[in-house]
Amino acid sequence: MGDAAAGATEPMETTAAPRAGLGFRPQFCADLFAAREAVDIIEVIADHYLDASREKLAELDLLADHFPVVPHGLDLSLGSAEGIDPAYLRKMARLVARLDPPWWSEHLAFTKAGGVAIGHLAALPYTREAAEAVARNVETVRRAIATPLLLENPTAIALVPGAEMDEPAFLTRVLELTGCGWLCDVTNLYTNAVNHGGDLEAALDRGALDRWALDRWPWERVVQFHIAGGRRLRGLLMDSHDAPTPPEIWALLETILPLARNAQAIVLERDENLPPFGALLEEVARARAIGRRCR
Amino acid sequence: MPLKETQALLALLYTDARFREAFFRTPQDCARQFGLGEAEAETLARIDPAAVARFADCLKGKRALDARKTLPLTHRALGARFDDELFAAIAGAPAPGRHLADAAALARRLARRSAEPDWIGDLARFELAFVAAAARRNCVWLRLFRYPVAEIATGLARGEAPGAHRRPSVGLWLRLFGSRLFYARL
Repeated sequence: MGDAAAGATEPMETTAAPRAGLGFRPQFCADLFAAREAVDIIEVIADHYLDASREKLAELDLLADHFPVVPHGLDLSLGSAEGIDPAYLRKMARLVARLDPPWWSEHLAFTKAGGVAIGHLAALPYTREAAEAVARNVETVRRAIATPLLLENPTAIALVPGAEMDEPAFLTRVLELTGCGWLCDVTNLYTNAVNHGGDLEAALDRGALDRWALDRWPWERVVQFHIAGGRRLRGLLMDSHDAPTPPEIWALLETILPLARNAQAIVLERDENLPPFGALLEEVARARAIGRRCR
Repeated sequence: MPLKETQALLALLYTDARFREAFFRTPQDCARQFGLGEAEAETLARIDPAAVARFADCLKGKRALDARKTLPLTHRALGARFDDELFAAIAGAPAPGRHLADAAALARRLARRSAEPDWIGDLARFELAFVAAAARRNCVWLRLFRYPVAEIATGLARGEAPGAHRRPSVGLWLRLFGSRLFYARL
């Protein structure tokens, strides 16, 4: 389970500015092809293609003919102590083989346990046992998929008591054990910091991020970023992907990017309340400009 | 804390309202039923009920959003009543393949009870047939409806408010070896 495992994403400093792109949604397929010079990379939700019809797979192949496409999984449940579903893994392996992407990604979370499909990403307890369970599952995944796997930090609405470490220490531990790269979701990072009273928001309020808080995250392992907008619901920030990326996320991205020297892509996520495609392209262009400025 | 048992308990806690109520009444008893020891049960009992309720609400919201996308015309016809009908149909933890399972549970509920408009059960079954057929490599399905449901669906898709009269109709869904789905009104 060491860093030398096949498919591990070793930090490899790059001087090129990160590519900027967005998560694919069929609603803007025609617009996307009409403006393909404005998009450097596309991320697809892997789950939408695991049991797909021929037509849907043809759509995917068309995308892959025109853009670098990276698949992003939702339901592999890498944090499940009971292991991962072999049938799901086989389908994922087929999809990754079909696309032959530079990397693919999943969440540092669990979505299934005790025969229950939770239907969303549930936070893991920040314990050594949970980190080791993820490492075991990643090892199983690597036997089926050699392409480098990135792990994304999820939002944690309900924290599990009994934590032996905090979120940055847990993430660092998991990335060390697995050798995986980090898909750093800037919005999730910010959302957790705000909802659980972390350091990030306070530091942003002071106009500059606290070096101590920043030093605790494994920025050198970031390969890809996610940015998105959300909303407040009963005082709580939600990563609902239904609004433009807000100023605080842009500010955080700008602060983090110079530290993430291995980052290769910034991907905008927008699922609901889709604006005209031009508005999404403006966000992609802004991400690209920040990437160039900070490299 | 044994992770497997903890996750099994958490999964139920997040998704099953009845279990949630029982857990917060006697958290340590519930934790013990999942094979957690005294100290572990005590630790888990410290989970924040408000945070759990918020996460459970998120999950319900997500299930409703997915069901609205799965049955868009049924959602359009029911309007604000859609979520209430859905939540009445899907009490308890979701099963694997919940997108289809939730939509099917709602369609069954609407077909069983005399909901308004009278053709809503037919419409939900009609929409569900397309989604369920698309998820299979092979299917040959005949569905009998009490109303001319294809016309109702077309009207709704155009933004009209159909007031259909009862007239039986039949639909055929055919898909072989993962080919394009064929549908015909008979």
